[in-house]
Amino acid sequence: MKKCLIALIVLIVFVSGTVFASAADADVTIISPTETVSGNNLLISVRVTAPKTIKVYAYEEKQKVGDTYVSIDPEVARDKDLSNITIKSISLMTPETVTVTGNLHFYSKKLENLNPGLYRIKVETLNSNGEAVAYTTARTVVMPKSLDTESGKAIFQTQNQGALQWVQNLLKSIFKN
Amino acid sequence: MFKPRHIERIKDVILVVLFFTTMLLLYFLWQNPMVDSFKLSSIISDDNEVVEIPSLEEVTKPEDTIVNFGGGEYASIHHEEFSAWGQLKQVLNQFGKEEGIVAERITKEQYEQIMEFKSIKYTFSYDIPFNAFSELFNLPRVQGSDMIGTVFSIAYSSGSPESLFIYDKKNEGYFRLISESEEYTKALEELMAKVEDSSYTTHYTIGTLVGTSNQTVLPLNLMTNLADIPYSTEIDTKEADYIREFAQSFFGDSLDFVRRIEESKGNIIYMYGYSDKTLTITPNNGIEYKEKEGPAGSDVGYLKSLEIALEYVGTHGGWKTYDGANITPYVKSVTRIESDNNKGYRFVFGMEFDKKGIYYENNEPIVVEVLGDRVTNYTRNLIQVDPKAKELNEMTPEKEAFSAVNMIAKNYKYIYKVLLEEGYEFEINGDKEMFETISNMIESIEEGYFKPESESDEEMKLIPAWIVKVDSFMMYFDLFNAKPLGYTNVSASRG
Repeated sequence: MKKCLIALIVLIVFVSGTVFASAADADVTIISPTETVSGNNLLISVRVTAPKTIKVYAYEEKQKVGDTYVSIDPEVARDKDLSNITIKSISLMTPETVTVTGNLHFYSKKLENLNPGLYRIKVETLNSNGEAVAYTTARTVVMPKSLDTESGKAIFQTQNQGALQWVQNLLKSIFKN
Repeated sequence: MFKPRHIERIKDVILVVLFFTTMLLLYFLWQNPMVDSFKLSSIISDDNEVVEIPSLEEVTKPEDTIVNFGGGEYASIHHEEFSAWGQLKQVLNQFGKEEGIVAERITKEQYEQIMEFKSIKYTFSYDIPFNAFSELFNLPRVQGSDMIGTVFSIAYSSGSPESLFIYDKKNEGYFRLISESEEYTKALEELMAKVEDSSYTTHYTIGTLVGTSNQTVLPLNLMTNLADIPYSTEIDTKEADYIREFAQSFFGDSLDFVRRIEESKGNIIYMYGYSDKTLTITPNNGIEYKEKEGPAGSDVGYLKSLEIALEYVGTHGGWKTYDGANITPYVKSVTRIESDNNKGYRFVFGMEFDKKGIYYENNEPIVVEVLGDRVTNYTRNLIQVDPKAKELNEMTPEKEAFSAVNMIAKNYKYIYKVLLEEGYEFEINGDKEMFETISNMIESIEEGYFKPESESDEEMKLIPAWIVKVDSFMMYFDLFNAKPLGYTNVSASRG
């Protein structure tokens, strides 16, 4: 009975800890990355608007294929329904702890040489004992860097037609007779 | 008894002596020199004196050169790195040789879309008249170019390799110069590739880092070896010979009809007529020359006015200091001026040391006003930087500068307070809105040297600083601890 009671108390403590820790911190906002980025670098920018200590983690969410974990296809990741995929979070960096003393501070870091895929940033808010009391997360899909320059021409397509029309009008006015 | 031969010889000698005496007396009559300043070399004109004057092209340089790699990442390079500015001038030259260049107006949206591709943009600190820009960089008048008023920035984008893009900030216009070939701009593609392969300092826009809309770029982390640099003033009012020689360059060697006044606070004033021409030399604060306006001739145009200004400085003090390190001049701002139907320009020249700008608090290194074809106002406040400073910088180990984005976070309330004191009006509700408003007003951030306005002799040092342009103010923050150092109202100091 006593053992059951202790187990129940421990369970309640863990559950309530999870509940409290799962609450996002209103003073911590992940500005970057946004939902989708392109290229092979990722900018993490976190805004902290009160004196507190945060700990920043970065993961790549990989899917299990056979016995290995591979990057998730960005097109699949964009669909957001990943319930059919077994995901493992692979840490990309040693978590960094920052103590903010003022009322506005930005933590920023650039992660380089990433593959296209799904990534997650987590920012924990720590109390004076170093325990996480809140966390804020953001997921982002890293798309391949676009090499397409053809779409640049489309930007001026109507413009070119306008210029062509002008030339045609000029020629008509010169040779109208 | 003298023989006739001897008498003739005596007569010859007397004639020669009389001839030279006549020349000397004529010299004294015309030049009226002080006896102790008489030098034979001053009678014989010195054709060997070389006055170094930078060319129009040499002083016309972009303030920023930004490469956009796409995906929100940028690099900011000095225009001399990778010969970046030289490469664009060569492209302009090639554009200029082609006859079929067409200019067309585009929308702001089209401009912003095309610049999202991999691109490089050269931005000036002032608006250059397009006619002058064309003439200077061998870009002939292209079809349709009449609609382009000024050039504030010129850019290339991989999304449209046959084009160059111009932003006319003064008239809020965006233009595209279209050639028939994509070959001309290949050099710029190669330039961007070289920058990307180098160890550049990554920049992001303020908007990307803080969540606003500002497209001004700033470095994510900056490693630098900038350190305090001692300097001295160019002119020491105690050096009488140097001061006199300087005054002679304005009023002539003899200083005829020129009064010299020495004030108790140390200023030395040379005045011709009833303040028709005045030269004021101030200890630790340079010189100011003013000439009363009279008929100044017709407006000679931007390039001719700039040429007049360059030559004037070259012959009145020169473009180099006496024995300081080399500092490089460039046109920092240009303002149209007009007085009594005389039109002209005010040119402000900035200085760079070791590729970093030197920014003065409430002052400028050189300012020249040209009305018609005459210089009517000239202020000069050059400093002599220790010639060993560049070596010292290179030997100084690099350290990380204070994060640029957190420099803004730390000082946005200070910036807000300064702007309020200077007459700005805001309707702001809370710190978040204050920060967003202030960060959206920032037009540029770069590292450079700051020269405070008033210093004791012991404290004459250029301080490494973040130079932040907020609307019409330049604000300065210590590069390593982000403390405010001062600010300058640019429109007031440049007139």
